[in-house]
Amino acid sequence: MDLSQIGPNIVKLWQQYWQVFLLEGVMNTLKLTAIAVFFGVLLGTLVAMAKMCRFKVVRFFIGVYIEVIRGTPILLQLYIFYFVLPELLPFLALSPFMWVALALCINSSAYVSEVIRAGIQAVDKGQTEAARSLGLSGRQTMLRIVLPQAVRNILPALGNEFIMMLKETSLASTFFLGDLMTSYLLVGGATYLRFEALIIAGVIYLCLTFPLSKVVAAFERRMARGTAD
Amino acid sequence: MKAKKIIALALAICLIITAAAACGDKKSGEKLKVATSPDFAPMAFVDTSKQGQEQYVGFDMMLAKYIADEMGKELEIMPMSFDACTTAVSMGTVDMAISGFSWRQDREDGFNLSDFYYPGDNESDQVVIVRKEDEGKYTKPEDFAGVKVGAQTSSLQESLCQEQLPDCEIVVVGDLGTALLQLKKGDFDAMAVAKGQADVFMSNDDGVALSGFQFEVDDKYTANVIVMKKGADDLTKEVNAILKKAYDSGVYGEWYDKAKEMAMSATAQEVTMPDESEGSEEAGEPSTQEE
Repeated sequence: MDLSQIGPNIVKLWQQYWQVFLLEGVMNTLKLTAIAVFFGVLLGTLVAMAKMCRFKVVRFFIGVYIEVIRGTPILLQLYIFYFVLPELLPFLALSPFMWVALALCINSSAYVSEVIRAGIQAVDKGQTEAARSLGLSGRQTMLRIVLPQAVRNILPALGNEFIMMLKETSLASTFFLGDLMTSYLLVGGATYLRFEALIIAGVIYLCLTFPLSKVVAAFERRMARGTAD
Repeated sequence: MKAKKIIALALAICLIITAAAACGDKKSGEKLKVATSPDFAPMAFVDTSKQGQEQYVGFDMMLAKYIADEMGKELEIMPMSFDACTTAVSMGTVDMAISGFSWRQDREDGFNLSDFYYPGDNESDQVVIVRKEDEGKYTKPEDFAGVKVGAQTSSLQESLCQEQLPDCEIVVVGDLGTALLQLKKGDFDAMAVAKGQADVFMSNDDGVALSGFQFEVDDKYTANVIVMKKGADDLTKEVNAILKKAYDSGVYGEWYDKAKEMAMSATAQEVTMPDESEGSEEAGEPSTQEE
C-alpha cells in the first residue's frame, strides 16, 4: 500500500469535507447520544425502581425486559425499531431518526437501570440497618442514607454509559442518519478514499471520547475522596 | 410503590407523546418510497453540499426520480445500508429498492425484479484492476494461473472469475472500498470489478491501473434490476413500462455520463488540477455495478 499518499489525501478530504464531518457528523452523533442517554437515564431509573419493587410479577417482567435488551445486539434492536415497530404502531408517525433514537433510549435504559440497581445495592447493608434502628422510616432511609451514597457509585458509571453510547450511535449509520459514521460512508462512498475518511472519523471519535473519559475519571476520583470521611 | 408505578407509566407515556409530537411527519400526497445505499458512486451517492432529499445523486437516483415523475408520485429516498435495502422491501417499508442490484437467482426467487436497466449503453464491461506497477501485466486467462484475485462475495465478478479464470485463486471480499485497500496492501494482486467502478477508482487513486484483461460478459448478467416485493405484480408491470420508455428515449447514456462526471469531481474539486477540463470526456463508459 502506498502510504505516502495517505497524508495528502487526508488533508485533501479534510479541506473539502470538514463540514460534513464536524457540522453534520459530530452534531448528529452528540444529538443522538444526548437524547439516548437523557431519556435512557429517566427510563432506566424507573426500570431500576420497578426491578427493586416488592411485587414479584413486576420484577419478573422487568427482568425479562432487561435481559432481552442486554442480551441482543443493538444492531438487531435498531432493525426491529426501524422496520417492525413502524408497522405495528403506525399512529406514532416518528421519523427514522426518532425511531433509532428511541431504540437507543430503550437500550440505554436497560444498561442504566442495572447501573443504578448495582449502585444502590452496593451501599453496605449495615447503613440501612443502622438507619432503621435509629428510627428512620424506610423511605427516609432510602432518600437520606442510601441514595446519597449510591450516587457516588452511579454518576461515574453514567459517564461511562455516555461514552459507550457515543460510540454505539455509529450503528445509526446503517440508516444513514447523519452521525459521524454516516459522514465516513458518504465521503468514502463518493470519493473512494475510504481509508482516509475512516482515519478522519476515527480521530474525531477519539477527540470526543478521550476528554470525556478523562472527565469521568477525575469525577470518579473526586467521588471516591468523599468516602474517606 | 403503587404511586411510583403510576408515575412511571405517566412518564413513559409523556416520553412517547413528546417524541411523536416532535416530529409529526404526516403523510402528504402519494409518495414513492425507494431504498438505496448511497455510498456507491456513480450509481448512488451523496452530494455533501446539498441537504435533505436533494443530496442523493447518481444514476440510480435519476432513474428513481424519473419513475416517480412518471407515476405522478413524490419521490422519497430512504437511505440505508445495502443489506438493509432488501429487508426494507420485504418488510414493505419501501416500495422498491434501486441500488445497483444485478440479477441473481436468489433475488429472482425472493423478490419481484424489474426488467433490466442499463447504466450507459447496452453493454457493460467487467475488468480486472491491479496495482500501478503491474499495469498491463495480465492479458490472457492463463496469465492468472496461481494469482490471487479479489472479488466481492457472491457477486457477478466472483462468478466471472470462476468461469473465465479457472486457474486463479479467488479471494472473497466484502466491501469494495476495503478491497481496494487490500489490493494496494498486497493481500491479493488483482481485483475483478465493473469498468465504471474501475474508472472511479483510478480517477481518485494513482496507485491502481487496468490489468489489460477484460471479461467476456453476457448482457443478462451485467444489467441492473429494481427490487420489489414478491407479489407486487401491478407495480412491477408499471415499472417495466416506465423502464421501457426510459430506454426508448435513450436517456440512460446521458444520465450515466452526468453521474460519472459528478462522482469524479467529488474529490477533484478545489484540489487544483491544471487539465481538469478533460474530465467529462473520460465519462461515457457504460457499466453495471454489483455491490
